[in-house]
Amino acid sequence: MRPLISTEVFVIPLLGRYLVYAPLRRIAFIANASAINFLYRLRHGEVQQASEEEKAFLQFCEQIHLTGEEGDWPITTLECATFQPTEVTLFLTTRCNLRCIYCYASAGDRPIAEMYFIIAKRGIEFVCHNALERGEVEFGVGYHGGGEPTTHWSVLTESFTYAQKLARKNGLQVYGSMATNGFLTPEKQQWIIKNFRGVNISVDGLPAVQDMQRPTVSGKPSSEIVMQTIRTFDKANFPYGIRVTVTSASVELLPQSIAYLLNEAHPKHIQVEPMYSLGRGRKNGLEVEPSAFVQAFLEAKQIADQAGVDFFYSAARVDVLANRFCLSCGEGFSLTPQGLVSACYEVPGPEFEFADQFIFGHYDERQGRYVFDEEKLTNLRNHTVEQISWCQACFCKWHCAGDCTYKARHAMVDGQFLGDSRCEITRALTLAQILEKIERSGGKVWAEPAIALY
Amino acid sequence: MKPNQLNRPRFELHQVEPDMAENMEICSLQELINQAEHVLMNRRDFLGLSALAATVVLVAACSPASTTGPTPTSISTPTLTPTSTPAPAPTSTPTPEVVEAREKCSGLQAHTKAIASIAISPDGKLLASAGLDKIIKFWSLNEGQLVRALEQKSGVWTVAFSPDGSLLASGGTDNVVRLWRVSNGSLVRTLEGCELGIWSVAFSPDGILLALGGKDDSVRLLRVSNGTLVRTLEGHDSGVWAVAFSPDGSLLASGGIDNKVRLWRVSDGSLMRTLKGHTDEVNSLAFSPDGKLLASGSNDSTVLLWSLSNGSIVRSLQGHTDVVWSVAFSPDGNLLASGSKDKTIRLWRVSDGGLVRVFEGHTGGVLSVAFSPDGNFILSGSADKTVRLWYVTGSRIGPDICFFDPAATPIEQKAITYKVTDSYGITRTYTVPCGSPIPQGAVCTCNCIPGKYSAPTPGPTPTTRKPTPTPTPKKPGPGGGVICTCDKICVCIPVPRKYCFVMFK
Repeated sequence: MRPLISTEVFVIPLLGRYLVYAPLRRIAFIANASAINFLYRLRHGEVQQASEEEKAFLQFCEQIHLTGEEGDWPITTLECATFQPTEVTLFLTTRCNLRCIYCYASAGDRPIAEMYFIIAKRGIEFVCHNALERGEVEFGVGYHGGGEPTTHWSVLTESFTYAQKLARKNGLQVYGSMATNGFLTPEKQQWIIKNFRGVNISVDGLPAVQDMQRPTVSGKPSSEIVMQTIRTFDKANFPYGIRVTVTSASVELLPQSIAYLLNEAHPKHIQVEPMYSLGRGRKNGLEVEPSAFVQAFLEAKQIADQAGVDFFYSAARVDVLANRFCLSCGEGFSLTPQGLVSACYEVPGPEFEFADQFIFGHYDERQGRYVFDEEKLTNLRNHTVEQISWCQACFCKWHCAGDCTYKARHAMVDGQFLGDSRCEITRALTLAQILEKIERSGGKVWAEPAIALY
Repeated sequence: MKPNQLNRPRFELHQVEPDMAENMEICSLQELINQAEHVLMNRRDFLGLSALAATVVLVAACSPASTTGPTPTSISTPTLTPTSTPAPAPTSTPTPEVVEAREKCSGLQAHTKAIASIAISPDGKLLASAGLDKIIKFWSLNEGQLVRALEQKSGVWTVAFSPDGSLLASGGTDNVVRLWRVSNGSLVRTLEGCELGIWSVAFSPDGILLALGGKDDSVRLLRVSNGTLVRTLEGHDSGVWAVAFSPDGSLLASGGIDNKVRLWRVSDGSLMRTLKGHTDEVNSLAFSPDGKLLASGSNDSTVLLWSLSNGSIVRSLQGHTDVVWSVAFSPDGNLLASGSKDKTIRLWRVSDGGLVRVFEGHTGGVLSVAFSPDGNFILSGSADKTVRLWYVTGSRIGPDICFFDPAATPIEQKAITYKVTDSYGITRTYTVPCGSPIPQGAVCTCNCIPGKYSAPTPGPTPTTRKPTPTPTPKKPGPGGGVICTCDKICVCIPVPRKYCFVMFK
């Protein structure tokens, strides 16, 4: 008999029962061992003649569209067949006015490198040109880490003003965005409100936590000024998200930190991540235990849910079906202060580990254009979750899509990804999301209508 | 975690060990949650549970509270409507839980001599403790910080807050009652008391009267406003260890060396009833909040619960192995705490006299116990010179609060101080013995310069300690906490010998 189940089905042991999960059909339910073994037989075409009970179960499977060859939801992948980015991210500087104890870029410890305007200008022109070629109506200019972008204020403002002019000239829109530590003067706050579409602010919560984890260069507290920035943004109704980093020293206070932030601020979303074991985070011994992070996250999420604020950890995203975690695999276009093209926010300079794999281009003065290392680019573009053998039997594979490629590089042995502590967090939180789906669907079965029915 | 320590995820559809169920079943999430709750109830180390269980907890928290849960539905019918069955009945513990806290606050003393009496202010913010070292100390209850110290000329046997919390009455071996203004520590009035020392004081619920019991066989009622003697209640054959007003203020109970408890009408001073049942001295009395019961603790090692309607013994609570020095009802009247010379505090269920919990940790007899106004914790003062805080649930639901006065603590004892910020952004400072677990996220603020530690400032203003906050990486410690390692950033406080206090002559 031919297999009646063709879609990918995962089985997750759960307190003596099993969660059956078909991510590409968006189906989940909890069953006992007998049901699991029957599903296995269905999958392998071993059901010759179904009993009455089996027929009933089969009918249930048909009802929720678990069986049948058609009906998988599509997986998002690269938007564009060729590398033609319409957003540039500028790593303006390695300088920073804070000394976060876990800084992935070790900002402040590295030699100062600052971007010249001309480098920013070329990147902006490149993405503007691509937007026109692709028939887009807008392009984006982002400012990101390696240092605090606002400490290189002249090039930040000059470059974005230039982008605005260029957009106007070409009948396009430009959107500005930034990741900032929020340690800003009132003048900078006002400029950002006036010019950008939104920003992400890194702030770790309660003043005691923020001041301990994100002190200023001189070791002084930063929370007062950062919260002042946030209040200014709120007052102007300027949209921003908050990014919270959790260490072993702050994990127990995460729920309180979120309660504090939601009491003091009105962010559009809050992203919570465990400290990365990169840069200063590699040496400070504050790596958070996955189980502690998960528990604190789930507690904090309840608080955020009550406040109606989107609260997430980047790799647990059950509503996403993708084979790439982010744009770094072949769509990212970020410029280091030196003008090198990086695929990843976490490789903001050539001195970073694995830079040889993620920095894949530069501006050729003679040719007057960017030139890319096609082999590296192809490697990045081919790096999808389907290529990661470790992930093949994991129920999160189409959601985290192999997680952050750069971080995964650090967990590789002999070129093979062998899982890391983020995998544990991702699985636990994805599982929580699946169970929540079941709960919200009546407590027994989550089955979204098959894609073919739309 | 190193990569090679992880197991490759294996969640593909595979055959599993058959279970007892013959039928195929689709289970409800609620059933799973009920199971998870059961697992969690038996596991205190929540952090150690798998992430799977934690996720189930999330869903449980999102679900409406319910005492019943749907059973798995057999798939023999395609209808997936869950049915309900009662949840397992709550299990009762046949033997009381023994809560040990031998190490908690170990060595950190509040007084230099036995602590004879403690009292909690009605707003729950302050603790007063007093003892034979002649000093009355006020502590902030939420941090355990010493706020103020007042000295008497002689040992203090008893302290009580007035119902509005503005005054503290103290009595001791020097035969007078002192009324202190709580807000600034000033002495409001000295009242002439009993001739041979005052063993017990109690404010009437309206704050107008103060009852005194002492060694001279009588009970006296004084007017608080001017200290005049309103009435002397005579009847005890010997000294009176304990006095207590009924919640409505109509009755006064007294008990003492003659083994008897007497009930007096406050209005006219007449003896309403004599309660006989103890076979040794009565040390402590407490009315239940509803005014229906009176508890008495005695040298005969028992606690008796008396019905006030007919004077009968409702229950005899037996379990202490030595003198019962103190009794206190919880604010809701459901529990009774008793402190004993056997060094334990016992928590009793009033409804059936069941022993709920035994708190062990004092190294000396427990002379005084008191419930916090919210009923969440009990405080105890002991002959071991310490005040200890016990969470009524038995589990720690808040920080370990140590009532630590460096001036009263042996010089070789060292402590650490840490700051932690609560959900309201309020930062509190706690002091605990070196090596104690501290909460994750707490910041050690120990004074790291030997010999530079400042003792509490003398004077009427509250003492404050303002160490410089210093971030300190912490290592996971037992129970998921963090050990403050007292390294070069955060070291132990050398305990000074010298101590200043406010002296009233």
